[in-house]
Amino acid sequence: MITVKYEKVGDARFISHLDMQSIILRTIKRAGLEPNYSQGYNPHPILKMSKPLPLGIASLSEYFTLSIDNIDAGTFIELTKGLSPKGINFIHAWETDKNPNIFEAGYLTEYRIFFKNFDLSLLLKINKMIDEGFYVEKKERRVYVKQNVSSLICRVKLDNEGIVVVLASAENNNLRIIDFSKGLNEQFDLGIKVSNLLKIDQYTQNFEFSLDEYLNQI
Amino acid sequence: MTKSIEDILLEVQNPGRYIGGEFGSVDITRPYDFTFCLVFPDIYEIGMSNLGLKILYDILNKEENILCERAYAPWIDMGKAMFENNIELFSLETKRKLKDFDILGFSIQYEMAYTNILYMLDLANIPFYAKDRDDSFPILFAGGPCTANPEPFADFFDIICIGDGEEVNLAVAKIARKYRNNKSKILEECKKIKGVYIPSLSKMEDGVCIEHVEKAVVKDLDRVSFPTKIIVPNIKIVHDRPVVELFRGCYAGCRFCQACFFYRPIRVREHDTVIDYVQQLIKNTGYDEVGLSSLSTGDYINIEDLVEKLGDFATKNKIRLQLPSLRLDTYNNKISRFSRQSSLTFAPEAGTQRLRNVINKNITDEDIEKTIVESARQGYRSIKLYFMIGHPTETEMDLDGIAAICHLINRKYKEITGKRDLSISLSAAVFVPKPLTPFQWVEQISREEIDHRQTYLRQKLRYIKNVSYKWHDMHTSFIEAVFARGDRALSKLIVQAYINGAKFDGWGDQFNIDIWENSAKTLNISLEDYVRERDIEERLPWDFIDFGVSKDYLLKEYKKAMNGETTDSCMYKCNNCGANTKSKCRQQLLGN
Repeated sequence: MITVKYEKVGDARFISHLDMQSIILRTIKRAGLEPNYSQGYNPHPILKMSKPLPLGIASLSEYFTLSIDNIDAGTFIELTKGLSPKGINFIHAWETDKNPNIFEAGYLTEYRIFFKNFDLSLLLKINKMIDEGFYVEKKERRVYVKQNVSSLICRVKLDNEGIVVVLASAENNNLRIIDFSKGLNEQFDLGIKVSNLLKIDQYTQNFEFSLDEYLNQI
Repeated sequence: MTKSIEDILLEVQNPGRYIGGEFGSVDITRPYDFTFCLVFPDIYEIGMSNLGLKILYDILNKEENILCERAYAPWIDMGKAMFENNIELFSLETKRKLKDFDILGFSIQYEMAYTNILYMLDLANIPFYAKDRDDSFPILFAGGPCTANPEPFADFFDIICIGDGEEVNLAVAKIARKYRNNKSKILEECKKIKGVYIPSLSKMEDGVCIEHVEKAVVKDLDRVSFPTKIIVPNIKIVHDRPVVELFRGCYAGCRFCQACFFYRPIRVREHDTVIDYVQQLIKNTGYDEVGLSSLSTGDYINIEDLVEKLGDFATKNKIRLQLPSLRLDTYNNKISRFSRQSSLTFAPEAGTQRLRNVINKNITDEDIEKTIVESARQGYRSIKLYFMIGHPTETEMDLDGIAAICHLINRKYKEITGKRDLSISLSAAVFVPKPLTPFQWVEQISREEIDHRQTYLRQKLRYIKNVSYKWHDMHTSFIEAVFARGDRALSKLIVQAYINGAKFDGWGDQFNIDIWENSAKTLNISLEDYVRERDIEERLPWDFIDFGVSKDYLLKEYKKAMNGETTDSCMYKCNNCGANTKSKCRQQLLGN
């Protein structure tokens, strides 16, 4: 089994999660590699993806796990170099004996919001808002409901490119970066757009490991 | 406040259509000094499925100093946003504005795409008519099967390629590069190329072109360039697989079929070439499926041998072979066993032997029976059938024959399987008389009559429970017929209809007959006049084109049709249609 970290940047952020599966498989086949197939009448390659990335958001930290034999991680990256579409780059790979369950492992997700006019006073206001209650409209059973999502905001930091925020991203306990940005826009009129957002890393629960560290350990 | 393209991409359907960057697209960093944009007047998913554009893209980008890119029609939502935000139409590769290219090459596949040509020009801020464009605008170039009668859109283009595009496109590009910014010199030089039609330099008489233009023909499919490295789309497209063309032209000679005659003479690709291309395409693209295409795949010489040879490769690499366009009389298990299709598709086209003889679709009821038996034995439980309503001499008995075929299929299926779980999907198009066919003189029946026949057939099929029946919209078919045999006077109708809101007319939910009828009324054009029967002495708008297939031959076939006589396939005996005056025909069969 190989787990691969890839980035999805530039205009590739407008490619849907579903289309990404075909792209990944065709890239692998172009490298002359043959994945393992499922059994049954309609066999398909055994490929598991990490959580879907919302359309329009670029990412430096996407993963997939592929069932494949007789290939080591380094050779996999070497063979697939230059064979993917523009903006999709396989960065690193790990060999694992078992499925690392990437979909579940990414409990927390880190994003950068590129924004020029962030300063310390704004950060303080944001943190205060989180303490007092950060309300966004979240979809619950097909209806949008205003909810306090403070508990889903794990960290907010400021740097010279904007802010870096870590949000909960477990399957039943998550806050989308788009909703967080909307909340900031509503409260502070910041004009943050999807193009300002970049997913930069993922962590296991309680920041125990980054996903890269987690995969190094398996 | 205007929006940026990034903002708009998040608001439109399927933004992946507009971003480019696909694996296999041209390296835009290589040196070039001449730009060519292939333009397809429909959405990305349809344009990217077109083999012709893949061939031309490859040929032009292999040429030093030329950069060839692509542009497709933005869907309605994207087009609206572009207009509202003053974003001009751009190419996929470099995002260059279409207006800034040296040449724009339009591929015109279907009459209902004519308004989309103007839609794209409008988005690109390029004047519609060739006469209104000076040297600062790109040269506009058209090709594709609609050039069998280019007159309705001739006024919009500087250059039209009639016939095979592989050699002509490159020749035109080279001349345009040499005489850049001197349009009159470019047109003068391009006129000398076989296959090129220059509307503005052509002699007219009573509104009909009389300039002699000879169709371009690629003589040898094994020698002409074919792309084994193609663009792999980032999103799902209509025909999402690489395709290898087995042969060009068709032996069958069905009398309603323009493609059969337009693509003659018949040129065949050798087995070894096909196998090589298939293997390279799979290796270079990563696809798990490949199509072997032609107008009648079962007629490819020794198709069973070819499939057998490809079979090992397909099995070992887990590849599916798709063989569309299998005729009823050539279908068998040896050909289809490597393609895992959920249903089989056949086109009897007419319900009775009598009418099939008129249209020269040489398929018998025995062929239908044999094929159903074979497919039932293979386990197929779903069949698609294509018919056409409105053939010349058609009567209600022929429509009854369509229902009878469904009953025959059900009976045979039950005999073989013992079950009644077959699903039949039946589609009936409306006959459209096309140029360069034996039926080019025939009228299209009135819309009232089309409606009557569609209703009649619907009633007949209503009680056959496993048949789902779809019929083509009669108004769309009517407009298609108007343009198929139209003349230069129709260019202003296309403009008027576009101004009145027509676009994406090939899409059922976008087409609006009222726009066309109102536009015609405004211009005092009688649409019905274009679908009438034509006198055999009448000069037809496309008569100036030398296709190879002679008008005398078509007339002879027309008379045979009216007498219910058939003409055998020319696979084993030449019927002297005239195509082989252009190039050797069926050369492999002749042993050359």
